[in-house]
Amino acid sequence: MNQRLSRVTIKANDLIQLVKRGMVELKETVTKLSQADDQVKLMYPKKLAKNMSDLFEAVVALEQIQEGETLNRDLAIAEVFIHQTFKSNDYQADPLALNILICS
Amino acid sequence: MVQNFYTDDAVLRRILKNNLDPHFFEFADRQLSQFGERVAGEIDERARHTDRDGQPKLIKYDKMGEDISKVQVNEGYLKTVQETYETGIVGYPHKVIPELNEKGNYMFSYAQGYLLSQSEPGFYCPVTLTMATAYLIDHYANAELRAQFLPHVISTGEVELYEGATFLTERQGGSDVGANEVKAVQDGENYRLYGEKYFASNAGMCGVAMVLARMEGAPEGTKGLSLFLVPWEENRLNQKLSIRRLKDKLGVRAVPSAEVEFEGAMAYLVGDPKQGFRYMMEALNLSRVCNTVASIGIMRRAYVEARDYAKDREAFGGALTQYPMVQETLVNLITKLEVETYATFEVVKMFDDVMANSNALDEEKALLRLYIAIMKKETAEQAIEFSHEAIEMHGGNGYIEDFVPPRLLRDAQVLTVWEGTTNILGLEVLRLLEKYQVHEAFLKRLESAFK
Repeated sequence: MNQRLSRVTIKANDLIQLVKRGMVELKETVTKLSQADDQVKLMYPKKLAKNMSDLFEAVVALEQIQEGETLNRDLAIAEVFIHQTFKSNDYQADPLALNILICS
Repeated sequence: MVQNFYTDDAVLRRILKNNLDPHFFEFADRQLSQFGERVAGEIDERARHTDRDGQPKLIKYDKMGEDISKVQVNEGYLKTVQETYETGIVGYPHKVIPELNEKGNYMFSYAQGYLLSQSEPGFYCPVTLTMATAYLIDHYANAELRAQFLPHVISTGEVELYEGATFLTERQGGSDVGANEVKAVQDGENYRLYGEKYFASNAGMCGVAMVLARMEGAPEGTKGLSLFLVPWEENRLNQKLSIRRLKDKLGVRAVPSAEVEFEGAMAYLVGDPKQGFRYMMEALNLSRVCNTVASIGIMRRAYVEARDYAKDREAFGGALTQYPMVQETLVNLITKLEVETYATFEVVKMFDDVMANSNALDEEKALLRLYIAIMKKETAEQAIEFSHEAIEMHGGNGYIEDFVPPRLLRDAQVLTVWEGTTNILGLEVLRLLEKYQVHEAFLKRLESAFK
């Protein structure tokens, strides 16, 4: 987890912005929930857990790019994963990414 | 058809190469190559037989009508048991690996569990219980108990193997452990247990069971629960415990899950009597990592079955893989699978680090608990989703038990339930946020990746 994402491509930078936005939203949600009544608080922990696992996985996906062992493939994985997770209404899947993953 | 679950999996190999010392990786790579072939071959065949025709059976009475409460399993299953424990899946985190002259780690053990779960997730349950038992004895039993039982629990073939078990659940409810009623009555230096455990997995197969019970005069709730080691066979032969019945389960049929009655079973107190629940919760975290590993194992198998079927199967004049919607499904599966595999082993790495550090800070422990909770929940749900997708990829064939996916779905369904339901995990997340403000450490750790 202490890898640094210094060598990422421009494409990955877009992905990073999406994840960072998710992190800000998580912070806001936790603050809101901490001030809520118990009944409200007890309604959302599963949703919160899902937000957290999505963010954790997204960062892990980005870190694989940094390792650079299989850059194109890792970038494709991160791209599809982060788009699926944080932009569920985006229909512009990258056919190149599909190709890399299907053929491997 | 995949011939070797390890050599076919570049992601697992990459994870291990990046996380193990080179000499340990060389050892692990060799061992897992052998195990990967076995789980893709004979262990998979035996697992199918156990699931369909060879489930554990309870022999309740002998020919004279005496209660013997014996559990009978098939020969193939016994072979799988022997071969698997001899790999050190339970033993090596606790003892020196002769070939390396150093102690093993959980990274290697969980890699084995991930491979095993691709063919026999039912049997990974007893392995998990034995891991939890080894952890509890190693960390909290006194020297005498440890010397007597630990070598058997972590056996890799040099002494008789005692599989483990952890009995918590009672009839009044699984999640509400504080309502437990099984009593521990002092008898000399030791104790005798009375009462019933309702979901006792690996009953009849275990050599020792770790049991939560309440001493006389102990307070209500989880604070009044103490941890006991119960030798199974000695108590069974003395008719101090019995099995009422085995559960007829939807999946994970390899593991016998029973209703067990204690009728004065001899039990040894483990550790501080006031800390029994805390000890068990620590072991539960280990089991939740196993659950996560089992989930990604099922996800991997579901993906492989879907992928291979789509490659071979032709419809409308071409292989299924040439059709965009099939491609999209496969891409979504492989993407989620790979990311969750990396994330799971990231948690395993943290688990190894915290386990190896007796001075780990409360904040580190709380953060680990958070990662375990969120990943247990997410991967268990995905294991079900992946099995469902694999069935759908097979069309009508996917609904037929001749194919692998139906078993995957039946086995996966338990993963969101045992070791803490998703609701219980949600409460764990909330507790960690309120008590430790763990989200701050969580976000800090994620942010550090972007600096």
